[in-house]
Amino acid sequence: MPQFADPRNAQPRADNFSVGITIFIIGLGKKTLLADTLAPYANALFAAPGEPTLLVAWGGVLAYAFQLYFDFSGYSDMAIGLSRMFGVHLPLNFNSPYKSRNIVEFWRRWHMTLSRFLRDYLYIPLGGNRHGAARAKVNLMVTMLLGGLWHGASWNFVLWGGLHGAYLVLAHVWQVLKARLGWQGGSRAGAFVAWALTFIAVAYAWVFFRAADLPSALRIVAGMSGQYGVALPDAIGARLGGLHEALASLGIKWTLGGATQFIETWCWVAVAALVAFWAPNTQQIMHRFEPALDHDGTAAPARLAWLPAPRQALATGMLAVFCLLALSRPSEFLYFQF
Amino acid sequence: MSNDSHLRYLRKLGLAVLAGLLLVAGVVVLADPYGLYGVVRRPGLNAEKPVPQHFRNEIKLAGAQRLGAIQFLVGNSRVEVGFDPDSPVLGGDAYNLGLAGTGIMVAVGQLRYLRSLGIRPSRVIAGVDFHDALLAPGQRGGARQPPVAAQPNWAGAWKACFHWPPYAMRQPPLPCRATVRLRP
Repeated sequence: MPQFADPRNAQPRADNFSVGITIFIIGLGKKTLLADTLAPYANALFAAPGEPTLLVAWGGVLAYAFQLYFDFSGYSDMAIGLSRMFGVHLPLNFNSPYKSRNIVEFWRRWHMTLSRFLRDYLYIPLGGNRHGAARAKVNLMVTMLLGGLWHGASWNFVLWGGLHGAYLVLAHVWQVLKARLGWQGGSRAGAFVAWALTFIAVAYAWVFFRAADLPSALRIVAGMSGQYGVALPDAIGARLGGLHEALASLGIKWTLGGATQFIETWCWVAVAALVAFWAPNTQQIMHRFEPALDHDGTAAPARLAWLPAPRQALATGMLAVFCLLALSRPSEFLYFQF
Repeated sequence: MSNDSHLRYLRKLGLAVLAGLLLVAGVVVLADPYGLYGVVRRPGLNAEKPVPQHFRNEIKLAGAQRLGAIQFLVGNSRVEVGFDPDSPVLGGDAYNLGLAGTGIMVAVGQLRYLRSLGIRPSRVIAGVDFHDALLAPGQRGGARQPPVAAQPNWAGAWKACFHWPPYAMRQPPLPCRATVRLRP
């Protein structure tokens, strides 16, 4: 770590502190305001999946997909920010992975340090793509299976890794096929379909990553695929007027209770989706100040690009206050010291 | 970007956090949602409190301690929403410790805790259900939690309000009242 030996880092510097604390607060916001808020809605599905209907299954799985992303990228931001306060630049770990338009791009943006480790210490030593296309795909599959196992000793993780291995193999086959057909793509509709397909594939795989056991995972996947039908809480149906009958004629069923949970789940999923799909990420916001070791300094500044200015100080300060207030949610109650 | 601008940013960030926390603290003390501070209690401003979602028992016990109550209403939701501790019948110094969804074990725990603080209740009014709808047929209530014997020197008389049939059966309760005296 030559950065530790850098004499410029021997003294505290205001620029490092201001950049570092801002990155840290953004990460804390991701963790406490988004991930922790989404957790109960994901847990509600995965703790007792039963035979979930389409929207219930997707609501819980999307809540988990966003919870995991904001949790992990929030922690990564906090680590990057803390190090930066002391002048140390850490590598990026997330780069808006849910904006990816194919699974290869997803793995370049998700848990980037692990992806690099798997590439350098598994895929390349296995031979990489040096022994032909077929062997490269086998190597890819083995790497992802072992990468899945790296997350925990469970068949669910192996399945998750296997699914991603299969996705990657399919993506490479598709790219070869596309090149042979001379299809350029590039249309906005095509880009949207590519993004949606990638995100849906990733969401399906998360079910195996999170579910307690394989039967639960398979029931949730069945629910996401519509095997248990589509249902809405009757409290929502009662407020739909004439639409109620129209939806019923389409085969949508009405369930007793659960309206609050259903609406809250989808509202928070919508908020998280807006942030994940639309908002610039931390390194884009902090673009002007080299937020990470492998930051692309040539990219254009993003919306909401940060400057050490009074308006940003107020916004970051308010975000920090919201984060501090959200910290009270864990089960400790300081007032009552038994 | 000069170092001065970063220093100014850090100073303003610290001030914004401090101001935000002071603002929140002020609003919490004024609204007093858990009835813990009692600085202002004005109808139309903060007299009505929301039902807390967490730490309900702890909040109630802290409130009872702060107000120095010596008469206690304990039991489940019927006591919590059905008895007014400010009723002139009780003559003041009463506090409603009733908690929706709880049973007699929680009430005994509350009274034991207050006793450990040196609070000697002069009167305890307990709402008791003799049918636990949460138990399976044939299951005994004691299997979930061991019964706690009344402590010596508990001089309080338990006025129990019996309800039959239980709430789960969606029938209006019959008016019935009895007094149960615990071992001294």
